[in-house]
Amino acid sequence: MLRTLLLSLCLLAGLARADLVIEITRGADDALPIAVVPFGGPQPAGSDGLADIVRADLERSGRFKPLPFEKLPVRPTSGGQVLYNEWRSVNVPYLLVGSATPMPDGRFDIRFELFSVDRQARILGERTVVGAAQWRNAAHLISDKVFQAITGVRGAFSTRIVYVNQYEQGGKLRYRLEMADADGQRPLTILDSPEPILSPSWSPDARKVAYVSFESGRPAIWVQTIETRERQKLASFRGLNGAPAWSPDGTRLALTLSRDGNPEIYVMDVATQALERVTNHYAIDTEPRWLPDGSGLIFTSDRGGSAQIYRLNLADKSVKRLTFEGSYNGRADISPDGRYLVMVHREAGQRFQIAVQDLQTQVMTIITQTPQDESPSFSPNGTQLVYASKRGKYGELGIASVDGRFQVRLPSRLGEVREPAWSPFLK
Amino acid sequence: MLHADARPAPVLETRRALNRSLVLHVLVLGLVAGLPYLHRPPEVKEPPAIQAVLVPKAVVQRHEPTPPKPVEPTPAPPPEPPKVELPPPVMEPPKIALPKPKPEKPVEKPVAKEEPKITKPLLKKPLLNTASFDAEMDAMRKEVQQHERQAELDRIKQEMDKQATAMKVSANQALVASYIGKIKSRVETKWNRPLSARAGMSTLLRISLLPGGEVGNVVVATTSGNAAFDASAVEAVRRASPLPVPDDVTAFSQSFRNFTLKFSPEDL
Repeated sequence: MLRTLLLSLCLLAGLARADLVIEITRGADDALPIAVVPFGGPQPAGSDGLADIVRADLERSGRFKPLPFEKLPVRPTSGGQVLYNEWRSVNVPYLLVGSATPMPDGRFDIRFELFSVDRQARILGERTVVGAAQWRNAAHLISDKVFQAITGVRGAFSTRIVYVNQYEQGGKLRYRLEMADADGQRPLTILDSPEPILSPSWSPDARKVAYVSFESGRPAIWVQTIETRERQKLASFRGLNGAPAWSPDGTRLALTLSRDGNPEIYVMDVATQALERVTNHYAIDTEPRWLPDGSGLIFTSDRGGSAQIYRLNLADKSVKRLTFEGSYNGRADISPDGRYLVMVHREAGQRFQIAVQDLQTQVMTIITQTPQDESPSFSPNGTQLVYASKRGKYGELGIASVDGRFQVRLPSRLGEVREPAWSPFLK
Repeated sequence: MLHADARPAPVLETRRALNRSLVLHVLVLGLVAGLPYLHRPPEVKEPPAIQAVLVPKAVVQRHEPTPPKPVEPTPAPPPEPPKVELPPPVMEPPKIALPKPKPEKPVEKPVAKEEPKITKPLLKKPLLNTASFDAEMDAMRKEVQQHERQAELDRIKQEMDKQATAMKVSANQALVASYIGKIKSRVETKWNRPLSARAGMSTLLRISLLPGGEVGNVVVATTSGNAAFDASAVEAVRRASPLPVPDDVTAFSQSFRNFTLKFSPEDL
């Protein structure tokens, strides 16, 4: 008893004199309110306002909750006009203001500043000069900077998405490979073909795309440089030629070939086109994706009786099964930090959904509820996924945060939209 | 920083101390209450006539089962009031009238303490009525016993004083602990951890509060190495202002005028 007493006294004395330390281990982690004030100055004819584009970017990320324009108490366009109390009173922790000034050569001088209302500090103050054609690029650049300043993670708003659009023309099906901004805007056709196109895959420098085209009547793997449209046929072996995936260093391509009998995974040296077979199993092995460090691949195999995801170590060719939940797991992608696996998942008797598995905890979370979701692909900063789904006659791309808490759909395209792949960061 | 690990300790310690003091209280009370009971042989001579007391039925029912044990050592102190009423009706013999008051106010420790003294004489007197030698011997014995009893009482009193101090200390501790909990949960609801936050990161902030809990200075004492993470911690504290703090100025000054907040996510 005496000991307890003394101990208590000591503790109390200790608390009083030395440092009281309170540990904060949890957070609210809700989407952050931010005020994006309409930029001052003119904008190119027919363009959206910079603030509109930035607002939409930040909102789509799921991490921000931009204040509706009509709720803005005031509309400053430069830091000199900012009074913190006006923003504190509406509980907005972040504030972005800026303006665009036309220059004599027709370009725009865009300045923007980001403030932390709570810390009463300017976090960013930058400028960029762009032509009218790069107006949206400037907005996405601002979004990237804001996102990084607040979250500590590089923004991926200036990236692209490629996908295959299957549409009808003159009563016939056609296929086109398209590339759009990460917000679905400014779609551009890379290839238009009367025959199916499948499995587009970005080179790590984001300048080339590999894909499977049936234009010759048989599947073949092509590599196309986006800017020059120059194309090269890389593989057209007997049987299946499918699922190309670029290695992180850009020197190799993993692919599925059935030239030796049943579908197996091979690695091709892009420069020499030398092939190495890396799986050897009577079951189907396909859909390879590289581990971020290039040391191995993940792939889909039905060697266990149902399709599941496996990991292959390229050095010793050892294989380890990664997924155990559900009757089907396929078409996996791995996050850039190697922690999360995303895949098309199906429980017995259910529809196909997108699921994320945390490879640290092995917990699998189903993150979409729409029917027939397919082909998930990580954003280069690992915070989001793009996947394809269908709505009636229209196909669309869905974007979801990795925890599934936030989801949006990009503009619909007539016909099917399939096989999206999110680009790496653009250099 | 040194006390980073000590945080959970005060809470635990407080609880343990409280538990122990509770146990001790029950023990002491039981002891005090039990003493007279041990020395109550006089009950032997019960005047049967008086047992037919006229009492409202309800009361009788209540008393009847308990007569032999006026004081129950087991139950905790607070619920005792009903029991206190029990002894009087049953133990009506005049001699026993004295000891009775003791159970009356079990809540008041000092009162309870004095009673045992009175019980003692009762014990002896009825038995003696012969030689004066015997009487003297008895007186001496009584005195010795009284001394012993007194020593025993002093010891109990000391123990209880100690308990009282301990209670006070742990009450203070409990107060501090409760505000630690309040501050913690308030800051946690205001902390929006950036996407780049990972388990294992840790930022230490030195916080100065004004009386009333308004946040004054916030200084990053130890950086996590991630600017967004540090900033999110500072913003959480600013957003949480004013923090809940004790009204008591001493308690505030001792613990909350300056302290450290350690931001270290566990679940990311």
